[in-house]
Amino acid sequence: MTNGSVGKPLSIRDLTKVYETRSGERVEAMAKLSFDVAAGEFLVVVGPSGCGKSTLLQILAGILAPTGGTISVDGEPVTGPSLDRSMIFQSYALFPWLSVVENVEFGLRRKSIPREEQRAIALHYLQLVGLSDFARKGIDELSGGMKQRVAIARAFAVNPSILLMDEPFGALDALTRRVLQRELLRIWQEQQRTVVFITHSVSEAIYLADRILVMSARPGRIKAEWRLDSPRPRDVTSVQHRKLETEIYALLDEEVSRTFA
Amino acid sequence: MAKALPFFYAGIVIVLVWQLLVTVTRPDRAILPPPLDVARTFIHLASDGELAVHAAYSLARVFAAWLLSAVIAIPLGLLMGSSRRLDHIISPFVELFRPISPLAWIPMAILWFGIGEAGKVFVVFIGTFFPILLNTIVGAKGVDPVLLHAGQIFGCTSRTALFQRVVVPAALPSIVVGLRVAFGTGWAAIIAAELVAAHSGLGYLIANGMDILRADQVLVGMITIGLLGFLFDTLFRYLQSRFGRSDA
Amino acid sequence: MPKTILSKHSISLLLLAGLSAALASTPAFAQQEVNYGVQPDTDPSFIAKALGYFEPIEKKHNVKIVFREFSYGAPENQAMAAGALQFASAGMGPATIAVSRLPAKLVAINILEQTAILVPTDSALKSPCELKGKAVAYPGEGSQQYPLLLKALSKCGLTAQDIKLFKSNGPDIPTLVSNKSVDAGITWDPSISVGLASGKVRILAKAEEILPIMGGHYVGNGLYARNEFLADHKDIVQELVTANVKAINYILCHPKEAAKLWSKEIRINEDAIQLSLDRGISVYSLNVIPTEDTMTAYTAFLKDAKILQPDDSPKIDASFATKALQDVKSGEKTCMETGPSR
Repeated sequence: MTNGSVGKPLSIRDLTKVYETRSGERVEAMAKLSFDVAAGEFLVVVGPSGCGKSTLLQILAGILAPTGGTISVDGEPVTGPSLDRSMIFQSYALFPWLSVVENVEFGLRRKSIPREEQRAIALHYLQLVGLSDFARKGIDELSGGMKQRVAIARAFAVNPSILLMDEPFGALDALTRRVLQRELLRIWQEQQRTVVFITHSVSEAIYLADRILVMSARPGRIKAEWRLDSPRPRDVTSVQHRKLETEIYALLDEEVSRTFA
Repeated sequence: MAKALPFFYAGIVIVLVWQLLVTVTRPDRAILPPPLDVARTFIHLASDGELAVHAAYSLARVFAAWLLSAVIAIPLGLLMGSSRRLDHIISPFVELFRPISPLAWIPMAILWFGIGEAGKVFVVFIGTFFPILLNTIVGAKGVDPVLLHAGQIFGCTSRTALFQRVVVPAALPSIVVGLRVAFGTGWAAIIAAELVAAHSGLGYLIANGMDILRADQVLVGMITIGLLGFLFDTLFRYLQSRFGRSDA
Repeated sequence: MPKTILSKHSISLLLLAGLSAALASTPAFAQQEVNYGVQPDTDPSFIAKALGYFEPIEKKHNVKIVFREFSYGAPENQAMAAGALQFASAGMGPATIAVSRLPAKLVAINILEQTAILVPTDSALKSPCELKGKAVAYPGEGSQQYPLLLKALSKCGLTAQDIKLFKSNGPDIPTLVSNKSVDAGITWDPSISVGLASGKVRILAKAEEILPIMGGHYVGNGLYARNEFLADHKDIVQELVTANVKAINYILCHPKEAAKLWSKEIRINEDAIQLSLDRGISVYSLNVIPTEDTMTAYTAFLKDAKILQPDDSPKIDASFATKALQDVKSGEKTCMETGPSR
């Protein structure tokens, strides 16, 4: 139905964000952050709490303006939100007054395609996440895992080149998390959109990522980078992966202790 | 129907206790008439349409004021809830006037509007305006910021679009609560306004009953007021359950 | 320990207080209060009080006659219903309602007329028949004025549906008429006279033109008492009625002095009261007897106006008024039976 629109490359240069707290303090969320994401790459960013990961994602989404620096998607600078960069939130952010299918349709309303087609696209993605039977239901009838699947369907339905995910599985239990990680990979692998995924969980990062970035504590900077070439689905318990996990944790511990200092 | 059962049970108990009181203390007819007298008067007033006419007057006044309040308070509340600056400018006025009970406005209303309909609608308006306004503001302010983010990302690029597609529907449950509460306060206010200066309506029925020492008529008025108030509140609760989906 | 001593002390104090309260409330030690309901109008009751006619009654029976003022009949009746009044003076409307629906009896009709329909001085209206479609202020359905208004309308083939009624306070009605908030108003004296004195209102119709049921006049004000009071203190009731008739005698013989006394008691302009007496807005008669004929006519009238239920029947005791007339005629110097005008 939708043509395979592949992910676009993302380029971040000297990104700075400074904001004032209510008490008038100046907080530097990030300082001259620079990195690239290749087209269709699954990038995972790990870092301690408060290091600016969520802020980064909001800036990438275009709903927060940076203090300095540039972001460009396939060469085009980012000036505001766009359906080309959609997002999945930790708290699902589904609209409680809309049914499941209406939620998935929400982003499509902006597009100049007929309503029947919007509905068809929405239903297609619902089917993809295995929730066709729940199309007409209210979202209060869904479990956490199901809600996130609806959110995934919603994010994919607008056919974005970039997918931003802010700790999407953080509110779910371990078992549901594993299922959804697999689902996400399955759906992503169909059209390979560019993904920027934030998490606390190193094993999740190893399971999902093409590349892992470790962000430092505030002000956020890229501390380290790893490329993962092993084929998916991955066994995070393997010796190789365990070793990687230990390395990454060591770095994170360093950063976390800095926030406590 | 099963939901109504506790109310029937309570009603029966009330009537039994009432009859017991009358039988034991034997009060003057003008102070506490027996339930049968009141029932007879109720049927009489209901069957010749008088009760319906008075009820209609009271309800019409309340609805007029309530609708007027909604038309002004909902948009104002949505704007105040979304704009901190507007909120700061208008809030002080709201907070100064709000504590003044609509009943306290009755003498002024009579002075300014005379004894016509306008005065009564004005009094009810005071009673209905603030609950709707305040609940709408709460609803608008209480929109989960992450929903606003999601709205922006999924196509609401202008403030109007965001307002229309996210803020208003998110605030709706609170708005409905405000409308329900407002109807209740409006209903209480109209009875008080009619006790003082009216010629029709259930409040007038009570005042008139007192004038001619017809306690049975007073009680019929009171019971009708209670029943109608209860009926409408139930109706509103039903609407609330349909339109007010709690945040999931 | 101080604590225990204090509590013992408090207990004995409480007992003492309770005992004295109990003692104070027993009738043998207390002077009984006779709560006499009145309204601020040209009521003979005020003249009786001012001239000291109640003092011998108080001394003889060891009672205190306390006037309780009400602004109109309905709250006065509510007080009587609650037992807070033993004796009352009110418009015949409220009086009849009270003796029909409460355990009370009517013992005298002590003011006549007292009601008129008013219009602005420059109003074009010439008779109540022209009230069709007009706004008319009135003091509520429980008043003595409402049934009279209905009668006036029915004589012209009109009903309450043909006019726009506005319920208002009796004393406010002349103001509403004079500032043209309404086209006409019906209220009681002395508000009528106050209005007339201002020069801004005139009378459209007097009560006697509409319904003369007692000696050619409309009934104005009545005296009534609760049954228990009548049973326990028959003699006090008799003396109160006689005092009223004596007061009426004074009014008839000395209208100017009566106007002065009233002006002090009810705080209304003396000239307005004088006008009321001169023009016969309020009329007084030594004969305060509530006769069968009068009451039947008035009751039928109230039933037509749906103020009384079909099965309501006002209870009357004419004996007190009959004896009062005899006593005053034989014991006092009288000047006329009814007046003071005409």
